[in-house]
Amino acid sequence: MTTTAPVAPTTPPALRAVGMVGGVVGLVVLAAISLSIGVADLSWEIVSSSRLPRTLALVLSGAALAVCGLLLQLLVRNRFVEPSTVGTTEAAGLGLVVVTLLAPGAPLLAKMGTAALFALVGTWLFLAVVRMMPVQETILVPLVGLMLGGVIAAATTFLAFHNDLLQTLNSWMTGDFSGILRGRYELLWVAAVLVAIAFFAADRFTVAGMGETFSTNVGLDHRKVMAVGLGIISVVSAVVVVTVGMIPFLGLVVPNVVSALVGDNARRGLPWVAILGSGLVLVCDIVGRLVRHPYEIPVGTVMGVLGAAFFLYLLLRRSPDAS
Amino acid sequence: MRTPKALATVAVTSALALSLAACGSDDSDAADSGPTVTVTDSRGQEEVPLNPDSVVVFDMGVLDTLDTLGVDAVTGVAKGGATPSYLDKYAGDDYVGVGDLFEPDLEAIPRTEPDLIIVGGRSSEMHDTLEDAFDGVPVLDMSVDESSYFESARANARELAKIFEKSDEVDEIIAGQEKRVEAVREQADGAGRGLVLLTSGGEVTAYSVGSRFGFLHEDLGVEAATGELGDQETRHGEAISFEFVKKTDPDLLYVVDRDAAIGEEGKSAEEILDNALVRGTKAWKQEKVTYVDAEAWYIVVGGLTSMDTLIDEVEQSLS
Repeated sequence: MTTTAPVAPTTPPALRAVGMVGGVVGLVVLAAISLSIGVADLSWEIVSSSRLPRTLALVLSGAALAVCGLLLQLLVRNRFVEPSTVGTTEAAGLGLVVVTLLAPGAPLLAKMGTAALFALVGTWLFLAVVRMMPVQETILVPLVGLMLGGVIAAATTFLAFHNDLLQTLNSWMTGDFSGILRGRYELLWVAAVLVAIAFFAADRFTVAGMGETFSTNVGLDHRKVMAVGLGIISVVSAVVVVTVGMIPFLGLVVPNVVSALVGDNARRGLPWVAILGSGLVLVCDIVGRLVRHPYEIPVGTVMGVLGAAFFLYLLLRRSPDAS
Repeated sequence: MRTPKALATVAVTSALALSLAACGSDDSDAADSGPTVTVTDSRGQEEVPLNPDSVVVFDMGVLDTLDTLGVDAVTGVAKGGATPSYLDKYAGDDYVGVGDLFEPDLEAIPRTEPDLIIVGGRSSEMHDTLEDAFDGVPVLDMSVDESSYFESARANARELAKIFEKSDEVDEIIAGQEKRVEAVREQADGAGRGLVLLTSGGEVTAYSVGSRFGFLHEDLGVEAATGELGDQETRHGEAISFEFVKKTDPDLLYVVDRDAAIGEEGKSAEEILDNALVRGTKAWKQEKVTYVDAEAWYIVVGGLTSMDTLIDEVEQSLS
């Protein structure tokens, strides 16, 4: 089906190593630019309390979301899905609104936990719907995901509207790093740990990506791998939504670029996905900080523009020979 | 100066004369049932009944002004979360809930048998819907022009007072306010640069001249702190980082906690601002951070009592 790359590139290992070094250097350069951009004059206090936390938050959430995109694509066996197009992110947002209404004073961890739980249910719902579809056409699966996400988002909007939370919901859901300071992003390290787990389990996800029958044949507990993968995706989505908001399309764009470059092996692709994910979020945030300096444009808005264009390109480019 | 009472009398009599002259051809309820008065709203002029028995109000600023003037003709109000605490009697069962600020309940409104419907600000978009739905009931749009907040709000208050023959009362209140505004302007001169921040869901937006909170600079005379960084005019407020606050380094900080305004106990504004960067500003060090009454600043626009609150708070922040 769609999980096999159109052409598995046979880049020699030496070239890949050089490329990886280049990628890391590029990321370091972007991080340095991010550290040097801001409104206040540069000083150690500014760097340690504002610039460094913001840059770390960008790197962590970029890597985590992109890796989640890849995981979801492997598990669903469809190249056009990512957490924000299958309802995961929307469900996390619904969870956040519900917990805010029921227990406004709840600690951050409780809010995150509720959001993660909702995200899990939302993702599970999507998988259940997809499994029930008689024809799992490449384009149909992400469309069903978008519709499901739309339904969940509508419920969230309804709740928010009736409780006068609409604008608050908007400021939550739009991915925005302007409020990031030391002490206000550390939850993202949870996402980093989960990404590390994904690295260790990379081979299992690759095998799971070949389908349930294949996985079972080579002795892999398909259900367990699916459960771990969905758990990682849900918690990471929840953490990112709670701390910075929604960054659309990232999990879609990055894994597709990477698989075109190095093929579909998760172990080989994951470092690249993480590096490119971080890099893309860094670029978007730097653009958002520069366009209307000293004011800001949220990273989610910048990414929405770039990501939507790329999504369209992917769909149009691949449609004739998609499967 | 203006003599609204005389004006009102002229308006009333001329309206009366007109409606008498046009008797028969004019079939609207207002003209049939008694004297009318010509009122100027943000869309032009409207003929409304004098001292109407039943008024439906969708705008919190108008509700505030009518309440301040002691008008008891209000029968229906917009409910649904955002009723300010000092007007909470209107949220009770004695008043018909006629929808919320964004959507009228067209089935509930007739139960009040309205003689007059007033919208404004957030609810002004429903003006045409209401006019179409309730033939013969005048609909006023009392939106406040935020680029000349106080002037526009006072004009609205005078127009509303005309309808209920309260022009003397409103003139007295406005004269008192004008005197206090003068005093505040004098205090503000040389008191330093002010910045208005609005916090919501952990994020911060800055407001300056020309915005909904521009009255701080334009009417109350506090110098705007943002001029030297970006353009003076940030009409809708701009997303900013805490570095912006540090760099602007205002002498006076006014904080509107939006989440508190809508009755949500989220992260409070104080918690959001209490960080290394904001602590470094002159305003924080000199304890010149004012957490303003978010209902008066954000929910109620241009009510007589809410404007009193605005003036009070800025006055206190300067002394």
